[in-house]
Amino acid sequence: MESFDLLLQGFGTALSLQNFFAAMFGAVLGIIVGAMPGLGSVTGVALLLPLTFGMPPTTAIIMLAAIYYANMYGGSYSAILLNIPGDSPAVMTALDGYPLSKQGKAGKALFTSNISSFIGGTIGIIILTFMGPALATIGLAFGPPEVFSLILFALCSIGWLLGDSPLKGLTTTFLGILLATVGVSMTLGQSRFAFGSTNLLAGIAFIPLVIGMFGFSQVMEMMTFRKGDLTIDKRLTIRESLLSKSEIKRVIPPAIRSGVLGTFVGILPGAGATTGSFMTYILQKKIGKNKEKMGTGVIEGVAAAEAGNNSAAAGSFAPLLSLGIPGSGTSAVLLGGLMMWGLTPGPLLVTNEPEFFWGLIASMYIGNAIVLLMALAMIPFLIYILRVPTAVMVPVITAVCIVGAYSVNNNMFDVYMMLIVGVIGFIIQKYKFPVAPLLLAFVLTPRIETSLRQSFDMSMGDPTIFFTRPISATLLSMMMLFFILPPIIGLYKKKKAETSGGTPA
Amino acid sequence: MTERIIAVFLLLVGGVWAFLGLTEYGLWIEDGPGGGFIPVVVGILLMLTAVVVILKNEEIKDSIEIKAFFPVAGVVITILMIKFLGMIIATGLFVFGWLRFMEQRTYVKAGIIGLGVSIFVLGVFSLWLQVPMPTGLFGI
Amino acid sequence: MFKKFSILLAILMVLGLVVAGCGGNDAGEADQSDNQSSGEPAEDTAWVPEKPIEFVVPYSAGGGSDTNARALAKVLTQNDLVPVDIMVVNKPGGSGAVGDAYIASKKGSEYTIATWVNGQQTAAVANNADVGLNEVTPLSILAIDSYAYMVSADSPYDTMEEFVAAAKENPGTLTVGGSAKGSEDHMSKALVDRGFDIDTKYVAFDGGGEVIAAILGGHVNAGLANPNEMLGQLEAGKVKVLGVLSEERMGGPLAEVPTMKELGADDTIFHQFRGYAVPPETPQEVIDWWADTLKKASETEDWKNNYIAPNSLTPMYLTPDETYDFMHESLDSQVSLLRDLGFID
Repeated sequence: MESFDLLLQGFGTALSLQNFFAAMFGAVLGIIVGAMPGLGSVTGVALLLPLTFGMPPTTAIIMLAAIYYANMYGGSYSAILLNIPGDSPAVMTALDGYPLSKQGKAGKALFTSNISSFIGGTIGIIILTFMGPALATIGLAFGPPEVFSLILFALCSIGWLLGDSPLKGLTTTFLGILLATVGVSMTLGQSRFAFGSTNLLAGIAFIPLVIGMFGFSQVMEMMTFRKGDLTIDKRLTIRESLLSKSEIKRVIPPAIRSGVLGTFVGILPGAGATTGSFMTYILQKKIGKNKEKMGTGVIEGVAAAEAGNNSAAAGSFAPLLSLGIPGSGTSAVLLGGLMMWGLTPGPLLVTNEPEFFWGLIASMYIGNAIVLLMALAMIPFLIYILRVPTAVMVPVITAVCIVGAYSVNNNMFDVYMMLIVGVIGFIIQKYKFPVAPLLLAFVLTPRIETSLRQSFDMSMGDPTIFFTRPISATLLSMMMLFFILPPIIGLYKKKKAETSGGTPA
Repeated sequence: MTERIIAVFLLLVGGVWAFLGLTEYGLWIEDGPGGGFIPVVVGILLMLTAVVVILKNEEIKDSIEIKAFFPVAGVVITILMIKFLGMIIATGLFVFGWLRFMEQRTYVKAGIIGLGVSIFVLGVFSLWLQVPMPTGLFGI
Repeated sequence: MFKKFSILLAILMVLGLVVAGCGGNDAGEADQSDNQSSGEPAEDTAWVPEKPIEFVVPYSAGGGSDTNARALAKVLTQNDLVPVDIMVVNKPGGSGAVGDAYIASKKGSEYTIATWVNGQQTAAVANNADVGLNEVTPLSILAIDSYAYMVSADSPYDTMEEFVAAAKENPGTLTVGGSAKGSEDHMSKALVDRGFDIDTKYVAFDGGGEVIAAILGGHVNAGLANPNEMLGQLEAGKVKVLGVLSEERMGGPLAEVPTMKELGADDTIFHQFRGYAVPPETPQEVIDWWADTLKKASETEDWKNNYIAPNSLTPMYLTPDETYDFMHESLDSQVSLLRDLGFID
């Protein structure tokens, strides 16, 4: 209960007027940065870091942390309304969010997104408060072989996302893996598949890929819409955006489940919010109610993805605060911030700077509530966007795609990439090749390739390393159980049915 | 037919990746998977699935309308304009031009929306979030 | 009921935006007053910038070079050393190649400066990039970072001697973690191997944080990191530092740690410098102005307290000529090291 007392003191710190406004300012900025395609939390936090040098460290990190988790709320807006994920963790939100929008349920999708973000975030913070240091230590047990087995598990799970044609889903999964191998490989330092282009040396950037595959191909699709296809004629009110009791019942279980899983994913080294939302969406697709309809516009899909990315964002604070090890790109920037403010990030931070530590944790509870209120208040304005006629939407979204793709690396090359990928995405989607598996595989491939090589380096070329380490072995056997057994059992049952059918009594 | 063209394209991609992976980047180096390991394995898998797609040849009756490629032309023109006018003016001008000449909106309406886009890019991306946008002849 | 609720929310939101707006205004006003107070030329050199300066960082936001550039930009503007705005521009990609090409394209520009570090110039050679050290104008170096060789607290090795003895007993089986292959960490590991005549296995991770996680988790036997990346762990007693690759012993918590040279390994000094370069054909008076301005910046308390100290760096100041020699010497020795490692043919 000691941590509970400290947490109460933390609330005292966080509720000072200055810190409260810092959280509020961070929340507004985070939502906006998140909603802008091409700009993510890393950019937002890095840009504002120098502004915070004059502030007391507690105020500074309260503001920056607020930017980070508010960003997860904002990213879902453009994903739901325009099919352009504002930030990479919002990719999974678009899968169900945009179809909902097309059915005229944008308000409900946004509401679901905000509520689940809040639930996921709060679960993440609760776990962080009471189990943070313990979990961070567990995270350390995940070395390269464990990470490899975990990601392989996730990669094989893409099968659940494949949609109508498993064959075409597999095809795009493989294409995504190959695209991810472009650029300098971290573990061997080789430059691969750059074909002489300096820009390709860095690899293909994920956000332009997403903007092209989702956003721009959507614009091309819109050109073929008939009049009024996307325009919502009747005025959407906040009342219609609210969820009914039965809908809330549908949202809560996936949000809680995803919140817990997302937090754990966020804690693992180098995972972060994007992987978090992928994993929770996959879990929902496998075990949730309404799982067959996932991807066609169900609120459970939005809930799983949003709760997943918010809780993972909270989870990635655990290794940062209790070990001084950044768990994601954004927390790496925050780590730099801690040093700039004169704090030494590391295992002693909690004991040396209790006011800072607990003030931050407490502010995350308050900040999350502030972000929720702000985000809910924005819904009426946001759904107004949908009343803009398609004819006007087409050029405006195109302009946003261009600016967004450019802003990722301040490089026109990414705009060319966005355009090419968009055209390819449009054509292959016309022929029922799903693009979500491609993006998922693209994100997971670098980690799996790196951890595979690292494992072999660790074991001097001995492949048994994957089976002799307990966590890795467990993950691999679970994978066998999930993927290899069911088809065999299915085959066996079928045979049995045939034989029993063949011998009628 | 188009589906087969896509599959042939994917077959080629898989082939190039597997070939370069094997010849250039190495399948197995220093007791571990080399830079070519994943490209070779997955490249071959992609070739296999592409062949199955070709053989199955599902007839999908979803023709691609030429209209869908108008935004592509728009982006190409905008990219050219960015070189001379900078990002802020070029994007606004693209929106204006599209609305006026493609959608037959009035000059005033198209102008206001185009200007709005330019101001939004300038205000939010350039000034507030400090994204250094490409500038053109007029220095913005 | 709902109407009232939504009005309340709207008011809250407007309030938030007003606060946001105020924050923005404050920053804006501060900038203006800075500009006014330094309206008169602060130097007696002929050239003084009159429009915003572009500060190119060839790496992404949040990395070491980015932090360096943003800290320097802040020191320069807030101490009235530069009378104009400085825009930090990230041009990441291709281990610095994209940003380097951009710098070279600004030939003769008076308003461009860029960060320049070891990895950037060696990667240019290793990748046969169009733009390398020869294509830019070296300007200055304001800080030097080094490397610490460490093991986990529960490792059986307490000293470098014990580690070396174990490595000699079982050649090629001890693992050493560091960042990407061909990086500064990898070169440092190669120097240590060569200096002690041992053979260890390098395991590449994605940045210092992951290296430390791997050491703490017991996934590698030893690892390399910059001091600022591991001081927190050292204070908490989670790691043991066996040696440092600097010329002399470092200060602070690392004062007790011997250098590799003291331990008997020659040629094991690795300098990771944080320098700056300007585009080719930058006018001489601009270079002079920068040299003078950067010298003043390096002497400010702001720079020492807010950048050098928290990052555990060794402060220094090199003139453009000294910088030219330093960078070229560093490049030559590191290229030969990379050649030994098989990264450059």
